[in-house]
Amino acid sequence: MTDVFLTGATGFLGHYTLAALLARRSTHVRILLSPPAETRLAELGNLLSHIGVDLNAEIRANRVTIHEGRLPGELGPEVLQGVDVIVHAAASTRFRKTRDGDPYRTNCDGTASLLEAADRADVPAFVFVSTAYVGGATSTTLPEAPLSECSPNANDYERSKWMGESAVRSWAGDDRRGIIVRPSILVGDRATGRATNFGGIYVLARAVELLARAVEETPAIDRRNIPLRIVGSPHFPINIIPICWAAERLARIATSPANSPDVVNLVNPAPPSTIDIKRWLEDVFDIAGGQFTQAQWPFPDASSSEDAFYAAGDSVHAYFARNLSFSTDYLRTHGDDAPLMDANAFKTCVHYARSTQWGRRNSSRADRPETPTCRVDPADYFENFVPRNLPRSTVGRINALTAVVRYVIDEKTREEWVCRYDAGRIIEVHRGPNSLDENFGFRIRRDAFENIVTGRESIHTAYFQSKVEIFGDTLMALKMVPIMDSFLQECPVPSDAL
Amino acid sequence: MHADAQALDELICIHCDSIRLDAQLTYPATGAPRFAALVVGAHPLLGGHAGNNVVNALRSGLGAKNAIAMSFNYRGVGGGEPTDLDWPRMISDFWKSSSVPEERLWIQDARCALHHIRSLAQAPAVLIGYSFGCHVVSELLKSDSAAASICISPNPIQHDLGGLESHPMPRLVISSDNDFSCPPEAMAAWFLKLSGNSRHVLIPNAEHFFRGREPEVVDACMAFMNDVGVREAML
Repeated sequence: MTDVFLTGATGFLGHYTLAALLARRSTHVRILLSPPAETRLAELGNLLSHIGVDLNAEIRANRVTIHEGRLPGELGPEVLQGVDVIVHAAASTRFRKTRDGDPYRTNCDGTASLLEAADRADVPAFVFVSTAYVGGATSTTLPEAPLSECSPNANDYERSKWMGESAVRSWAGDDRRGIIVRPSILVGDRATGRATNFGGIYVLARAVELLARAVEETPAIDRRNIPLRIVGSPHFPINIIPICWAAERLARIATSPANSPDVVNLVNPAPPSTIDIKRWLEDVFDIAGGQFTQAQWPFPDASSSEDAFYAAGDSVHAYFARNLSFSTDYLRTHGDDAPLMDANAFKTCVHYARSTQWGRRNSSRADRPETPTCRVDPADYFENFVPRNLPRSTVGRINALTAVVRYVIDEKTREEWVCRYDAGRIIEVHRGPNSLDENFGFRIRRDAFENIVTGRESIHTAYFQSKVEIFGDTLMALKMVPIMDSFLQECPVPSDAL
Repeated sequence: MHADAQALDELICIHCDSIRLDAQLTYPATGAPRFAALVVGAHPLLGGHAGNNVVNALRSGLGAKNAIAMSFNYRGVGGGEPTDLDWPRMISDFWKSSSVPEERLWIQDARCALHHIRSLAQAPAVLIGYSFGCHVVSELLKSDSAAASICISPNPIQHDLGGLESHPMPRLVISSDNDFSCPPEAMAAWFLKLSGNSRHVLIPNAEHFFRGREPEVVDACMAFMNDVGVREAML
């Protein structure tokens, strides 16, 4: 019996990894759940039920043990006593450092405190889930070996993973194994498309959806020949891997650490190219066009199509612009050399994502209370309506407007969006708290939100009735008010949309 | 026109440089007003308009207490006459520097409003500024006079308030201790520059905006006006 301690079990890779570990009959898994553990346990049970695992049955069979705790933080001595291997899959995927210190807090401090606990409990093996993009390299072949340097251009996520790898290497010694596993870009189940995280490559797919919608509303644009400059090259690889495959390989490494090298690149040995992904997405959204360019986004003369496309997020222009390949010695020795994604599998993943409205309808949010008082979907408003209409409005001429603004709709349910404006254009829209650091923000009561976006109530009026609150830089927020007023007067959500 | 037990509200237009400005007037239903108060609002590029909570509360509150009080929208704000102001350019300039050349036009609007309210009532004029309106009042006082002035949430760090500093009239400053635009120490330092006959009322924890604290602002203004006896002083 292998006793595995797993962190990040409620995450995308984490819950698939738990399922893969439990599929092996000789494993016992201890999982760390953040408080309140009862709530996390219910979430995890729900996630696993979608992939055929009965968590309660596994707990009753004494194959899963729950521990409540949070990283970074001290774990009780009993938690790791007798553990054979730690699989540290908990991570923050924030690309830029936030005020609460992530991704460094989770990926570095959390890893350090877990390594200390492992040290005290004499755990003989530690598997650290890193990333294939560790260190921020953009044009090289990543060896299955430690990286001595981190690129100065690495984002905070890539840097934090590099620091995490360094900590694990320092911890490892003659009597204990530190194994670094570097998965590339995760997508859903190859057969069903199921996913619970719609970042990564899904941001690119979402950008194409926004583009398709923008084109639909602009008859002058030929949807088969959309004028769009795509940052990058047509022949660079985009290394995507299906979740089940990644989880299975991770479980294999965890349960046989003696047979694993110190570093494993868990990547697609024959990845699709940028032109493949472009064609597959064109098929899904029934559009075509675009030319690759070496220019950098934002373009000073961006068209409305380009604004709509790149508004989906800053990673959009990064996906086609990386020429990174990977050593795959470990995979080859295990006969893993076939392509992992084809057009059908990729399209299945995108169709699934669209069916869940890019995660808004996924199972983890199923318990959210309905809010019948609001008939305007804030997600549709911030992710579609605003990026589509802003370039046509007066705001598009306010070329000094450069700011990151967070909009929180009814704080209780934590629905929030972060919009990055640059030179009067909306460059990024991110959903959820896992995003950019804002200069300032507006917390808007849900009932007031509908009145404001339909033009029935001004932001000012709502503010003085305490239906809107300002946070962050107050002066900048006040400067934003007339800008928002201008947009709301020119582009109210039409009443027939309700 | 709307009548209640004590005051009448009236929407009027003011002509200024061939532009029509929207204004609102509140005055006692009967009897002569004790004083004529012009309430000058916040910066249009920070969302300032005549419907602002402080401006509204002062106009209606003073009007209900035997004063004639007027507030107005600066040109280009609200539903007034269209102007040729280039708002995208102004917003861009203001975003960068917190100031625009058009502010001189808004000062001119206030001057027109002052002349208008003087033409309506033979009563001592009191200038009341809120936020950027304090700067406007200060500029007016460089060429006009008033029986008294009241500054609410002034920002001596950002704005020139020199016109207020040298004038001998009674002056009231109302501020809070957590105003984002001006720390209490800077406010206190500026208050020391005012010559005699000045009073400072601090309303704690009311921020720059006095949300829900408007009655305290009105009461402080009325107490000041009663204490300095504006009408008697002018007679």
